[in-house]
Amino acid sequence: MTAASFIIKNAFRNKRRAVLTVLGVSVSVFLLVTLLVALREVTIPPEDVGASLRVVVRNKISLGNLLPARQRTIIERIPGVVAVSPFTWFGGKFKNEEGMTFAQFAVDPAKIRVLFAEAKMSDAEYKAFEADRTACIIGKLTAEKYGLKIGDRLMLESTVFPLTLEFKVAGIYEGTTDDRNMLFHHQYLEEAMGGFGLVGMWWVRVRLPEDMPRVVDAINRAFANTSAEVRAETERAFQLNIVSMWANIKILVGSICSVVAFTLLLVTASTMSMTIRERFRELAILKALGYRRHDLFAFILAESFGLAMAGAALGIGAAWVAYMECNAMQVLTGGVFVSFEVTPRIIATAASVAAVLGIVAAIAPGIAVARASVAEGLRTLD
Amino acid sequence: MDGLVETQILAGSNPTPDCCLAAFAVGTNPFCFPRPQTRLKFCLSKTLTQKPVFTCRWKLWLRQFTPGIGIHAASLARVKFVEPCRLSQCGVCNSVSFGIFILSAMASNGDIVVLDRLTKIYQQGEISVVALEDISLVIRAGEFLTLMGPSGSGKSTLLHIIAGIDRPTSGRCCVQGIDLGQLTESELADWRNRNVGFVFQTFNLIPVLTAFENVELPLLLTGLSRKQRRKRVETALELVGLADRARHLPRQLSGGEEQRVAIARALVTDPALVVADEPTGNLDAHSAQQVLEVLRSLNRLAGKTVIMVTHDPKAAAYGTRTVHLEKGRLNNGRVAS
Amino acid sequence: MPLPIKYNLRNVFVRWRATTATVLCIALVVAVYVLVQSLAVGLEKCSQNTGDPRNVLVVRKGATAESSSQVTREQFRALQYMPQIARDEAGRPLVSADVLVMITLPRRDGKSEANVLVRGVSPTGFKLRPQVKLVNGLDSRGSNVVSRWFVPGKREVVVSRRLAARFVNFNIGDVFQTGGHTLKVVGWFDGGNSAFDSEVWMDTEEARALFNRQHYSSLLMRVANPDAARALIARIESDKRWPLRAEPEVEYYSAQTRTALPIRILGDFLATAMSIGAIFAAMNTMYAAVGARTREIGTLRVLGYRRRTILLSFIIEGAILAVIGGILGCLLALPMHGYSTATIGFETFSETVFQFRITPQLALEGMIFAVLVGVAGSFLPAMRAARLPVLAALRSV
Repeated sequence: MTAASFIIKNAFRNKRRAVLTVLGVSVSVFLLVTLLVALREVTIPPEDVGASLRVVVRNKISLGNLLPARQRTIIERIPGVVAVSPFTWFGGKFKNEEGMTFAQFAVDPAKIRVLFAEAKMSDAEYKAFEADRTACIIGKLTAEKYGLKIGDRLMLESTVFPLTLEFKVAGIYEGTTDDRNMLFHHQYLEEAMGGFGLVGMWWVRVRLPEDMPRVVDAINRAFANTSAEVRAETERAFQLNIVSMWANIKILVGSICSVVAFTLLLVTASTMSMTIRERFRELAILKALGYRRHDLFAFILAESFGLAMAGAALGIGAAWVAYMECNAMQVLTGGVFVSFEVTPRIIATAASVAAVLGIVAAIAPGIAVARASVAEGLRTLD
Repeated sequence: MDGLVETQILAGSNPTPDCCLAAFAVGTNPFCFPRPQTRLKFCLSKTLTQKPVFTCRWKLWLRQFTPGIGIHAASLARVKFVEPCRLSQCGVCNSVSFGIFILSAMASNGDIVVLDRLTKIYQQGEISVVALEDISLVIRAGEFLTLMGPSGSGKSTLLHIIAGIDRPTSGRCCVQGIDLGQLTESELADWRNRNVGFVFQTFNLIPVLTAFENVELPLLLTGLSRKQRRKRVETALELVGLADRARHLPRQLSGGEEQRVAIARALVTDPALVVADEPTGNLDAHSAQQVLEVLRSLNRLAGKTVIMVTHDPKAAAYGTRTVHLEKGRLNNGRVAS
Repeated sequence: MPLPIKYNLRNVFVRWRATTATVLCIALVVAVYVLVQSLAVGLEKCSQNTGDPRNVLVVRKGATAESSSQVTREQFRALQYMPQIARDEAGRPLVSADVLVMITLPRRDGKSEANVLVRGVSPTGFKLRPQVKLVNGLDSRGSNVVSRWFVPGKREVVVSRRLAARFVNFNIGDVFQTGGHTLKVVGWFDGGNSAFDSEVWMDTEEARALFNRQHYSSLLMRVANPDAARALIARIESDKRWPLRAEPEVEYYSAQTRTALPIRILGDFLATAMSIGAIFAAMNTMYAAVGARTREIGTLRVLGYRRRTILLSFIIEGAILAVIGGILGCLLALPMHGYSTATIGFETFSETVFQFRITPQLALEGMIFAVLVGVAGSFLPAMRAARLPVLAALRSV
């Protein structure tokens, strides 16, 4: 019998206790991983291949204010700009749902293909979209969620415009970071509003990454001191800004993560203490047999660490399967999270938290054992 | 059962102040549950033998759960009065409650335990272990029986069956006329509570409860009021000489004191049987002697039937009768009568 | 229950080292639940507290929020002389035509920006909303200054006291830029813990000019009595010319609890997940307790105690643990009560200020959670204790 098998036998001597400990740790680790992934998803929007070539232009006052349509020609003339499209938030309610579950934007269909080069959609669908003024294209996730197919009609009641419009699905796209949006003709909106000449945002495609800073600067300067000043920024900066509005949520989730980690510690530590107290006698006997303090401490440490890591493995594994294989979070929250990725870094964080806790949990009992004399231990009849 | 009981206490040559005290103690004995309106009537009359007699009348209100007391209405009994001077010599029982004394004497005389061809077989996997084989034994009320035998002889098993903790594989065990094998689990639990006081080798006091609370434990299952319980517990603790240690926890008591508290606990429901499994096994010689003295006075003065398992011949000497067990059988096939 | 509770209580305290960890676990679960839910409660109370019952709010039909609603000038002109509307001493109708604009401003922490709701109000707007009161404020040097109302046409605003704490340039006397214009803060107000605590107020016509708004966003009207309110609402909604919706102001704001809902869901999810871990911890503790007291249990059985008494006793012990943990958890959460914070509201998409509110009901819910955890965790160990065979129990060490 080796030291390792001795430790394992000891750990599972009280099978029920070992199983309960491992389960307790795994539940906490699962929760920790969930929180870490959610935090990451909310604070860092997914990195997009094409994002480095797109600029978002909005009204400087706020996102809620509109821009005059005449700005388009000015932007198009800036060197380095490949395509410009309006991007106006429609805010439509679908069927009888209380809130909006997917975003709808009025755009210029001809430019969309250039703007979102990474999107995958067939030529025929693009052509159909451009041809019909009432046509729209829908992201794959939304299409699947509502069972929409090409040729279906949908009615949307806008909460920001006094309109209810009917659209026809001309295509379904995928391959972007947010495959939930619905895009339709800005002209359609314009006509329904009686030619109001306003847009929500401009999305601009730049030729080369090096052109970016110069284009952003040029756009900002072009409309300085006009009645509609703009703020142009890279798409990434735009997303990060939106996310920074959730500042307090980060703190909230962060503190909850710490609380969960602390609970983990308690669960592991208390179990180890219970185990050690039960085994005081045996450990004293081992001492009497000649095992030294650090041997005993090593036994305790190994057992604590082993239990903690077993729990961590189980918890991380469960999280991986649930989120990566079964897409649990997307299904459960109805698509609030587009992606819910368990990254290697998060796995490493959770594993190291569990490891540290496994070690820390062994300290107190270990010291108690090391300090107790053999006679005390043998006398114990707890 | 309500009943009018007349008891006669035969006094010694001259009624002394102690006799009056004794009579008073009888009237207020908690084991009898006298109602607050108890009136004591003392009349001194002469009997045929020209010895003064105290007659006390009191109304007894007996609850159903104490059948062991077995007092019937209008039963009369003559009781031998123990002279005070002899009583004071018994250091442990210096505040003897005469009530117990009287009541026990009035309890049904005769056989208290009848074992008929008792057999107990344990199954350990595929192996059957015969712990008891064909035991037939009669124990009379008021006996102090010692069960002796080498380890593994089955004496503890026998004790457990008599006490209603274990069931025989075959055969019958009747205690006070009740066949224990016929009782269900819960009936057995109730029966134990009322009729058996168990004393363990390892004391088995609840560590977080004081001596008082430990002794009170069996009474919590009865319907007694708090005041009544307290009375009984105090009496029991007095009986074993530990009234002043009532508020102490078991870890504050010595081994001998713990065992005496355990005996008080065993007594407190006034059971017919006191059963002790190696009561002195964990005690030093002096404490062991004290404990055995208590058991003996319980038997002699209070008339309790005591069944004790021991392997110590010196302890066995305290008993009135000894039975030997060997390998699950009564030695020499003796059936005591 | 024949076994006295003091038996359980004393056992819990005697084994405090083993039970402390479980008690803390439960305490944390309860604390997290109470805190997260108190966020939601704070948000809900804030919106429920908004509005005067005598007011009727008019927005465009189909608009979910005032800021995305439009009421034209023609509609305003037509509506303001309706008979059901109350009038002030001078005989003018008590109506405020509001313009709502969302602007983006940098936060005080210097690291982020947030949207802020600017409400342009008519001169009667202040009278219609008596819960909003001017309070003394601080200037940029930190000294106390008396607030005053804005003067229309002078690019002046008043801001909520609570918002002032969170945004740069919101001290009295400060100026900030938006839409190419400079606005000056001349006073602070307190919204009485309502939705108005998240707003900046200015003159409505000035707002329309500054932010290039052709129309108003909403109308707020004072009515004389509830019957008049009903009549007014019916009149407005039945008219086919106007795509408008009218309802009592308090009802409108009460319905704006959409932001609170995901927080409530988060709270329930977290508490449930953490409870599972706590249940395992409680189970461990109770199994250990049963294991240590095996001989005791056997003794109790010999004394005549029934199985179900023992089962109940251990479950009660688990519940006691849980109650202690629950109380501790509530105490841990309590300091946060009244703590002011803000988040982005889902209705207005702008910074919404509110306070953590821990209500007795929340504390009770937390305690119920705790007791459920305690009972669930101790059930199996209690079954084990009850099922112990008497003889084997007596023989154990």
